[in-house]
This record gives sequence, structure tokens and C-alpha cells, in this order.
Amino acid sequence: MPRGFGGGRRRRNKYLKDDVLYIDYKNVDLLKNFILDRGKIQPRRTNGNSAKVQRMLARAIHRAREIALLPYTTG
Amino acid sequence: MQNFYETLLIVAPEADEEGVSAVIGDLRAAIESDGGTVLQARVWERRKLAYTVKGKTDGIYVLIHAEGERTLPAVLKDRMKLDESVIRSMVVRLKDQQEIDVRQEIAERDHAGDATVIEEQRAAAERRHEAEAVAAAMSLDEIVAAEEAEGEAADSDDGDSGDDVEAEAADSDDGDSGDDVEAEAADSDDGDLGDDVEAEAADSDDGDSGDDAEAADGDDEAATVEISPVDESDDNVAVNPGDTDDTAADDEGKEG
Repeated sequence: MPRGFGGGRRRRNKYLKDDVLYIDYKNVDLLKNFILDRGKIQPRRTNGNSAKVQRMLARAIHRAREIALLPYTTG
Repeated sequence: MQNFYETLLIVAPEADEEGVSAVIGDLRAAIESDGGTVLQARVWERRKLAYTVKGKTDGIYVLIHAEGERTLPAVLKDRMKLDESVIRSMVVRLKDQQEIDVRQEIAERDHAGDATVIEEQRAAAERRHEAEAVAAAMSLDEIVAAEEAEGEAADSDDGDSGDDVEAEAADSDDGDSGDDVEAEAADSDDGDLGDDVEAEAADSDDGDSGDDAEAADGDDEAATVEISPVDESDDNVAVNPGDTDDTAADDEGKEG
């Protein structure tokens, strides 16, 4: 099925359930799964996160960046 | 109203144990003078920084959990700004489940605390855990149901009598060996002429991804389905090579 631009690559999230209640910004090993090589946040169309989970994730990544646990950008 | 705050700060790597405890003691005093209570203040980890901060490549992370009025974050930030050995800091308010979990963790860590409190919190955590397990099982069922629904939806909006093939090319980094293609045959009782197959191509950029398909349903007529990403890519196969390229392009728009 066509899924518009860049479609068809959706896959279910391997690391996070849709019903997680919070994502800890200190959990670097988890967050690393959701950033691209350059340090960017993976779009949810790629990782299949629910909107809610993606919001929590983005917040956690932004916090982790602030305190130098994750890079803003790499290379 | 008292809130629950988490403070994470980076102390310069040169600081010795004494220097770190001086920082902690200073902040402890600041919290208490503001009418707050320190629940925990400890060195979290010594680690490499993701980027240099004030010329330092690593640092000592100190974690402080405290209860206090909403003036507390400002008080803490002011105090840490004045301290030269603190190179970066962040104060975050925790609430709901995360607050409960952290409190529980502190109670467990702090064995000198009231044993009944620890026991109460453990019982509460167990109840939560059970509830989560039930929720997890439910969400698994939901995923299966959603998958089936998706398969049926694929039938209805496609008037094609031929084989509908939906291929999902995964990232190249997912470690799967490239040649196997797993196909799930949808219900054969849907009256459709063709066989509906949802195939996940493990690797998009190996040329022969589509040749072998395993149909999950054994008595289905078409056990093997030809998936050729090149030919059918415009109507029913969506194959997308180059994961990072286009996502990066997208992100650039957002993040400037």
C-alpha cells in the first residue's frame, strides 16, 4: 500500500510500549535508540511511536541534551 | 504546596570527593533554608559529556531529589550558578508515576529509613506492576487486532483482483539477514480473489529481497508470492531505501 511520501517503512517500536507512563531523560541507553547518527530525533513515522510516546521521548531527549547526556549534533 | 524536584548537575572532573561533598552540602543547606527537604543527594555517575561544557570533556554527575515549594528551583539555580565547580545543572519537577517510582527507589536505597514505609511502597509498586502487566497483555492483543484490521483495509480500498503485496522495508541496521522474506497471509475466507500478503522485506537495498516468501497460512493457494520492488513500487509495493537520507531532510526543516 502506498503510504504517501516515504511510506512503507513504518515498524513497530522495539523499545517502548505505547502505554509507558514516562520516559526518564537519564536513561541514555534507551534514548540512544531513538536518535539518528547525527544526533537528531528519529521521526515517529520511522519508529512507529504513538504521538504520546513520541512527545515524552522528545522531551526526554531535549532534557538529556541540556545536561550533556546526549549530543545536540554529531560530526 | 510542596513539589518533588530532581536536580542533576555536573561538577567539574577535577573536583575530589571533598569538593563534591562540599557542593552537595552547600545545596543541601540552600534547600533546607528554603523550607524544603532533601530526600537524596548523591553522586550519580562519572561520565563523558556528550559535548564539551566549559572546556571539560567529562564530569561528575550529582543527583539530588528534594521536596520544596515552587521557589526551590530558582533558589537552586542561583546557588549553582555561583559555584564555579558546577559546570552545568538542571532542575526538573517530577510528578505522577515518575515521582512515585523515584520515591520508591529512594526508600529502597535508604535502608536506614522507616521499614514500614518501605514495605508500604513496595506493596504499592507491586500492585502497579500487576496492573502494568495486564495492560501490556491487552495492548499486545490490540496490536494483533489492529494488524488484522489493517489487512482487511488493504482489501477494501484496492479493487485489484490480483495479489496485493504490502512490503515494508526495514532499516538496514536491524541485523536481519537480508534474504528471507516473511509473509503473513491474511484470512483466506475474505472472499477476495487474490491472496493478501503482508510482507516485510528485511533489507531494502539487497537486490533480491522479494524472491522467497513464506506464507504463514499453509493451505493458502499461493504459497509463494513474487515481490519485485522495482516493478510494483508505484502501486502496491512501497519500498524505501536510504532511511537516514530522507528523514534527515525532514528534520532539517523542523530544527532549522
